[in-house]
Amino acid sequence: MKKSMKIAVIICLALGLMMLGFGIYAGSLGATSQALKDSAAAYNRAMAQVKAAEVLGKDTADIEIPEEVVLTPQENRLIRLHDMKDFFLIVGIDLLVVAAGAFFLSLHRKRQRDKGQELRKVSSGNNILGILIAFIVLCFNLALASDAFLTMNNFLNVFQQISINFVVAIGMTYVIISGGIDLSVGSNIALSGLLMAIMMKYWGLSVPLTILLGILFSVAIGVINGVMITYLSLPPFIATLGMMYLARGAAYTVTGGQPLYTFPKGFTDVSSRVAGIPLYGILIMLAILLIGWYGLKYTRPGRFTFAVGGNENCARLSGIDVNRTKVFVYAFSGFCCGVAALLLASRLDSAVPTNADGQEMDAIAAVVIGGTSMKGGEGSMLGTVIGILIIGVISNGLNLLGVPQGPQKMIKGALIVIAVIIDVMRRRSAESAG
Amino acid sequence: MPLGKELLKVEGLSAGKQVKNVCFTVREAEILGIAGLVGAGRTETVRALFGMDRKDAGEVLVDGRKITIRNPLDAIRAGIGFATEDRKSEGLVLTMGMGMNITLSSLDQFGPPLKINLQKEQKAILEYIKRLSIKTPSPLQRARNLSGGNQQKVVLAKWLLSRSRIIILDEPTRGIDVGAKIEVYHIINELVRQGAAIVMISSEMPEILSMSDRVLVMCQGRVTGLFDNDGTLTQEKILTYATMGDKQSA
Repeated sequence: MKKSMKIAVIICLALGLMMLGFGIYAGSLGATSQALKDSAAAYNRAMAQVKAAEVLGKDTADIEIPEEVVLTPQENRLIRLHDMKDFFLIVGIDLLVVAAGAFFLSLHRKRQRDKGQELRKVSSGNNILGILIAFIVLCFNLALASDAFLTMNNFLNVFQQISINFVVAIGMTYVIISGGIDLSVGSNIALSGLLMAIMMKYWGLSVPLTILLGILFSVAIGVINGVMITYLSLPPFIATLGMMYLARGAAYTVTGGQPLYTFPKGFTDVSSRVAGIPLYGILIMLAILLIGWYGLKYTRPGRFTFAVGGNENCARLSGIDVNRTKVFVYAFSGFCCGVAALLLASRLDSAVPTNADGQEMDAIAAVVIGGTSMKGGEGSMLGTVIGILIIGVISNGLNLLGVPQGPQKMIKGALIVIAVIIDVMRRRSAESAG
Repeated sequence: MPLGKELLKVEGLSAGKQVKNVCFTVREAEILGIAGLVGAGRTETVRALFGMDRKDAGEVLVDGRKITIRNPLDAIRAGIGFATEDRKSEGLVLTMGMGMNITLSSLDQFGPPLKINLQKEQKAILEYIKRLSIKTPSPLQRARNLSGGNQQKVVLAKWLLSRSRIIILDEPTRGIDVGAKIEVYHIINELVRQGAAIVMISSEMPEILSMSDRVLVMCQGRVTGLFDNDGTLTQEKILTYATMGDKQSA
């Protein structure tokens, strides 16, 4: 290991142990701190009762006033220290994990070098391990920081929050691997949802037919995106940006800005809970994940997606129909939007033009954090799933901790930047070694 | 290796200012070397042939049948493969594994479009790695991490696997160390043994003279000479015809 790395690891180790020590010590003050707080609280309560009685003109004689309690600065510090125990524990454990990780990684590298193997920069496997570890550490931190985190109720909450993004991000993964981007997903969901509402409420179509047509409509939007990008040679950013506004505008126009409520039971049953668990929602999410994962690994369109994203010229020269591949990925993205529209509309039992506003950003963030490169040609479904979970869990955790929306957004932004920086660094080290 | 029937016939191929009325034929198991100075229009000729660039005029016949080639897909479907000059920017998908690069044009051999048989694919990849002596720690190794020579072998493996009957090679040993060069020549000979018709563009005279059955010489977009490599062909002669300007010679 390089000398500077050694020093950094030692510092992390030392700080980590120190913080952990603090945390444990602070934890041990629990009883004392609680006793102090209780006595101070009792006294303050009594004084408040006296004040109230005076204001109401009642008799203060029979209010029992305990001995006056004034906490010394020392005692206050003790209470504050105890309150911060979680912070110390979390930071301490994180530092220790980082130190341990760096240490074991260097051991692993050394063992490889000793065996005479060249350092393997083989697949993106190590990257997935990285974000997986980050995710586990994240959950661990949140479990320590908030009692409500590890509850079944909270899990179901998180699941619900991420369900839409989950489905959309799977489609977005294909688009980004192909080297493109789809900014129209949010609008696609909103418009499709409204269309499904209209089909059920005003055209009297059956629920299954509505769902089929709704999804087909979303696919059609995706195909139009694909055609604009291939045959009209529009850059994906511009084409899907235009579609984003077009579809969103259409969503507002179609109902004059009014929401549509109350759908047939068959429709809302998709989001119904069986024994408290949204069964169909889970099944649908898993199905889409399976399709997405299988497609990338075992099908020609999936393989071609990687080729087109990695080197479009070479793909063309290898006999791949590049245009067809591109239309396919945007069509698939559209398909995922249709499914998302179904999930959203059935859960909310309503369709509003503002639905899924900004969905595209969440989807792109999940895909990027999951290790898929914006340049295209690399990526994995598993990575996207972890990316979705990381974003979802962070939002959930920050909500539980009472962090306001502003700082939450800043954290999300920082996360994306960090993920991209790590990706760029990893790519640079791979290229320089190759 | 006895030469077979005529596999490729190019007549009156013209494209822009750089390809003027080029004609040649190639037979099964034959190597046609294309010599000329830089700027002679050799790469432009084959690119037009392969459908990469638009051509203004010309007919292409594969196995006696006229073929319309408007894009590389048409050419590949007609059985033509093309290993370009710049393997990094056009020959390989550097971010993909070297194995997947090898099978990229041949996925139809491993199952229906929605069900690639990964084991079968892996077997084929390992077979080609062995056959062509490609040095790689694993079939999953990213193509960009291979050395130049091994990268070129991957490109050749791709066209070998694709069972293309006509293979165009543009400077196949550029930027490759001597050891790998010889291995590449072996691979080209292997292709010939399988009955492929090879068109090889090269700026290295020794290479042209040692590998080709016949040599086409181009200068400023035109064919200036077509010779059998029968022992009387020398570097000086090739050079003469490569600098002849507009003069035509049989």
